[in-house]
Amino acid sequence: MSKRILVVDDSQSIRQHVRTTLAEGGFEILEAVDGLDALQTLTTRTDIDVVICDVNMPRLDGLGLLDELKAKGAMARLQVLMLTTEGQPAMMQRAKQAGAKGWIVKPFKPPLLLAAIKKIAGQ
Amino acid sequence: MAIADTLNNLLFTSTLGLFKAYGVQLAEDPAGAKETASTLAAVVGFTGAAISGAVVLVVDSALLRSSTPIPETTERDWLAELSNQLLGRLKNRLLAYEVEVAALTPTVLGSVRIVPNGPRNQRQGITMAAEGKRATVWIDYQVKDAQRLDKLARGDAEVGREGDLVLF
Repeated sequence: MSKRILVVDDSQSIRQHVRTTLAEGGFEILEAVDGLDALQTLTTRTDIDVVICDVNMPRLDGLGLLDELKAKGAMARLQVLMLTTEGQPAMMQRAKQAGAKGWIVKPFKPPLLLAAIKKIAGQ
Repeated sequence: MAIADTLNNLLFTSTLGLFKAYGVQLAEDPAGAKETASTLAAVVGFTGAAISGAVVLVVDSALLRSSTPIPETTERDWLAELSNQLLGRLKNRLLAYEVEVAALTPTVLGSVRIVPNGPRNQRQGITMAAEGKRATVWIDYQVKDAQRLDKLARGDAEVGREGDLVLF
């Protein structure tokens, strides 16, 4: 069964770029336009394996989403990779402490993202 | 090196690096900006304890089309993302100078004539071009705490790289 991946980014271009990049990995891709949208999806669906998440987004940002998911105990079943323009070590540390598995600073290299997701998803 | 020189150099190299990452090798065009009917501009602000301001990225449709990895996306959305990533690159380079800023949401403008206005920060903008594609960038800023910009004024920091994966 293919792994389900939720791509969380307020940029349609990035969501589409990630979707295209991961297509050859056979993943099922879902999208969320910000952290709150993602939180609603992840609250109602427990069949999502991996989350690829931006940091700077309206309504609820990526680090806020991690905090919410950790508080709900959802991080135990999710593998989260942060994909963002941010590179501050303090932000990376906060994501790590919340349970994220990795961090890529945009722009991403498609082969690297695909390989990272395969590794994180255990595929 | 003056703060303005370092900032403009960082903005120039950040812009070259950004477009190179998307397959377009630009070079500085000393002829400067040229107005075209198909020009779009994005303005993205930044703010921090030491400095605040905005970066403006003006590009033509040819450059937008050739740089996007997603042909079906809109020019407006792609330009917003490019400006977001450009400021992200600048932010990450400023971190090496111990200058931290936060980015604001990009605003995309179309069908307008936009040119840098006045030498408030010494330079009129930098135009880059390649094979009929053009981009012009400039930074407008206000120093809030000059002491925090000491390292920036010396221009002597190593900068980080985009695209690398850090696994926790």
